[in-house]
Amino acid sequence: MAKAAGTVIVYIIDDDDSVRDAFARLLRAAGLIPRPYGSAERFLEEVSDSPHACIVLDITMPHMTGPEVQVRLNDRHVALPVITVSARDDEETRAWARSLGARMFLRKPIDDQALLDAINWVTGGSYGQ
Amino acid sequence: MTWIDIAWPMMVAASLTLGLIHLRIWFRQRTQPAQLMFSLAAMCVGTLAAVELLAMRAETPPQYATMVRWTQPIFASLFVLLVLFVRERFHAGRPWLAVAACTLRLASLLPNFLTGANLHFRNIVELARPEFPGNAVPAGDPNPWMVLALLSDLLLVIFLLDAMVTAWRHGNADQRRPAILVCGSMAVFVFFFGAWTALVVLGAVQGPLTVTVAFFAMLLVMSHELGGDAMIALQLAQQLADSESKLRVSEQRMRLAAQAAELGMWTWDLETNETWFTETGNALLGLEPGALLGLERFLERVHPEDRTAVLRAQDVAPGGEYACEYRLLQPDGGVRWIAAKGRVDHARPGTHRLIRGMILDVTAWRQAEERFRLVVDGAPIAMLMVDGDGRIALANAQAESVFGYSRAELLGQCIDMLVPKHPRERHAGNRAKFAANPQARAMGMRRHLFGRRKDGSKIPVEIDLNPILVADTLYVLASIVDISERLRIEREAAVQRDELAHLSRVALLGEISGSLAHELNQPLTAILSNAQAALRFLGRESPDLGEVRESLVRIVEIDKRASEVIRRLRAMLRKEHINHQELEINEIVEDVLRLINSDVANRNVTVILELASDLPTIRGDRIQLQQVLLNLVINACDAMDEMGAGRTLTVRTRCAPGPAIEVSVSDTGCGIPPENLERIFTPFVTSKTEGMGIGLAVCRALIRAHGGNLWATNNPSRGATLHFVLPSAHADPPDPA
Repeated sequence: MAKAAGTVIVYIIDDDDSVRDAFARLLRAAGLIPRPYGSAERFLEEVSDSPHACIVLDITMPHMTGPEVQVRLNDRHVALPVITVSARDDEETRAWARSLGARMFLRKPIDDQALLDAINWVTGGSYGQ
Repeated sequence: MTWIDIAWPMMVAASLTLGLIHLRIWFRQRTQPAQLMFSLAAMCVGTLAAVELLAMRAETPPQYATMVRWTQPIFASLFVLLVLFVRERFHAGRPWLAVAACTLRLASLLPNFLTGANLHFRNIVELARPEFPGNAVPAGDPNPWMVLALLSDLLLVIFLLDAMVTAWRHGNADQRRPAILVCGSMAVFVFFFGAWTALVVLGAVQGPLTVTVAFFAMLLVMSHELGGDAMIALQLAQQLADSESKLRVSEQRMRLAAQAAELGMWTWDLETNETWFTETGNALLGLEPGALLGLERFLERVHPEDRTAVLRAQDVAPGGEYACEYRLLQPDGGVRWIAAKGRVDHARPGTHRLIRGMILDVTAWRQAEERFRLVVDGAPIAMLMVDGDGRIALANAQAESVFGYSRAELLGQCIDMLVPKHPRERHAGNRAKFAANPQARAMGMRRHLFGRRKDGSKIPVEIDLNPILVADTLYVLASIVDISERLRIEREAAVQRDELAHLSRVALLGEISGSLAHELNQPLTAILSNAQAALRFLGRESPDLGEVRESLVRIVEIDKRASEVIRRLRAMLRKEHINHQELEINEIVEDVLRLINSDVANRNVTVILELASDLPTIRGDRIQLQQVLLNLVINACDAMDEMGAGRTLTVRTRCAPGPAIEVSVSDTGCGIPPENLERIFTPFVTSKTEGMGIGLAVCRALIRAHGGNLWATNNPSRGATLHFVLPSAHADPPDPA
């Protein structure tokens, strides 16, 4: 387990600098490899499929709707699991998260354990803690 | 038969005729004794001529002497009559001369009858009958008593000359001429007659002893003189007749004019209480022409309330004016207004008073006046008419109730008493300024005006001034509205509006709660994650203190950001008094968009800001204006919910005339049906499925409370735009609401 711990890559997509930095610091502290992105476009340009990776996507972002992100990921044959997060917790946001085909929806603020458990779960228990 | 036989009888006849004519005149005009004296004198001359004729036809000296003797009493009478005539006619000649002359003449009658043949001859020797004149001419011894006759003649002449001089001195030109003519001719004739008689008697000349010719000539002169009087009387009579006819014509004219003007003329004898009216007057009273009406019956026709006034009006000194207006009861039950005017006078000097005057039917005028009064009194606003000196000339019922004074207390008083003490000093000056440039206008720009009631309290008023020119006198008509009630309602409305604004703000926060949650949860998320990261770094076997420090620094920063969000949220929710301050509109636009940013982003709406620089500042309440803008932005986003791509929200600010600023919020939605462009500002009208639809109504109320306006238009391409303008902070302040 510990061996695999260093290999899990978490793509963080959030337009809010402070939240993105905080998530990155938390994941680093937990021994994961965070890859923060300020916008979905830049992430989509760089992302590549890998077995030990997942996406933490803030869905309250301008200029990119959920289905669009999904289509772009499919276009690139990227099948990374997606954990959606949002500071909003209303029906509209949940519906959007579902439409995105997300494995998980977490409402901000997110407890560290809940986030790590979610990452652990979507990456198939590839990392311990 | 000689010429004397023809001439003398003619003189007799003429003299007697003159005598009779003037006797008749005297009979008509007893006040003129001169006429009687002349008449008697003329008869004396006639008799004298007859006796003289007999004397001249005498056959024997004794016969002649007797005839001459009988001429003397007649002549003496004539003598006295002449003296009296002069005295009476000219009031001239010294009385003692007159008495002396008459006494001597009457005294000469004694020797006439007692001595010799007569006064002139002691005896007559013979009667000569010369060829010419062919009548008896006496010759004989003269009677020395003749001196008496000559003396009396002389005194008469002196008397006449004296009368002439006196009349010349005292009389005017009209009196001088007849006095000189009459007295002068008398003096000349008497003098020549005396001289002639003396010469004949003394035998110096041969001729008849006659006086008739001289006195007949005198008669003619006197008759001419008296006839002049008659002529003057005739002229006067003619003039009188002329002026009478003129008077009648002018009376006629006056009557016609009075009839045309429907003026009735009347007389009221204040002693007998009899009244008299012309035809028109009777017609006005509803009487038959010529009918007489006593005061009692006249008063019965006067309206009971006016009777006292009619009677009291007559209590005026002679020469004074009678004036009153009263109502006349008509047989059909109606009422006519009559104006009576007249002058109180004496019927004749010193007698009782009477009034002459005229009456006029003023019913139509009174009705017009009554209508005017009803209109003015019925007006819902207070009206005061003020003359050039600031005195109140007219006040209506509303003015009484607004100021608490009765009309009697207002009329004639200075308008300044209705102005509160503080601005009163300025008020007189303002009035003078208005009089110098009279133009209809609102007083004091309709702001902060107060009136003073009788009880001293101040009331807020609105005043309009209108100059009115009545018969060259400038009046000012002030229309005054008591606006206390309106201000109270406005204040209540403002309170209600603020309450509604607050409620709608709360509702608005509900609508943007998602966005708010995002705004708050983002910093909380960052704080939590940083804190937990720090704990993990501390929990390592070799704690990474650098990472821990970095986490804590970030936590502090982010916490500040979060408290800023909460502060703004509190500001929005706070129920505070409106706080008007100078504001930059661009700042407010940016604030609002920051607040709602996540919502807008969430809805996939592109925001375009076109904010003009160098905009004037505005005065207003920051929170209310934020609320309006937030509403408009949310509405614009809502309007684009149904669309796919191309959701664009444009917020523009620009300068507007006034100076003012205009803010417009445009969407690219489906626009507003034209019939709803105004309706959307009505409460409870909404195109949205949720919400109560009070948003735009409240927005418009808030913008109007800021002296601005809010309206909607459709864009040429697609979507709608909501605009609002607000006056710049340095434009004229709006009405306080």
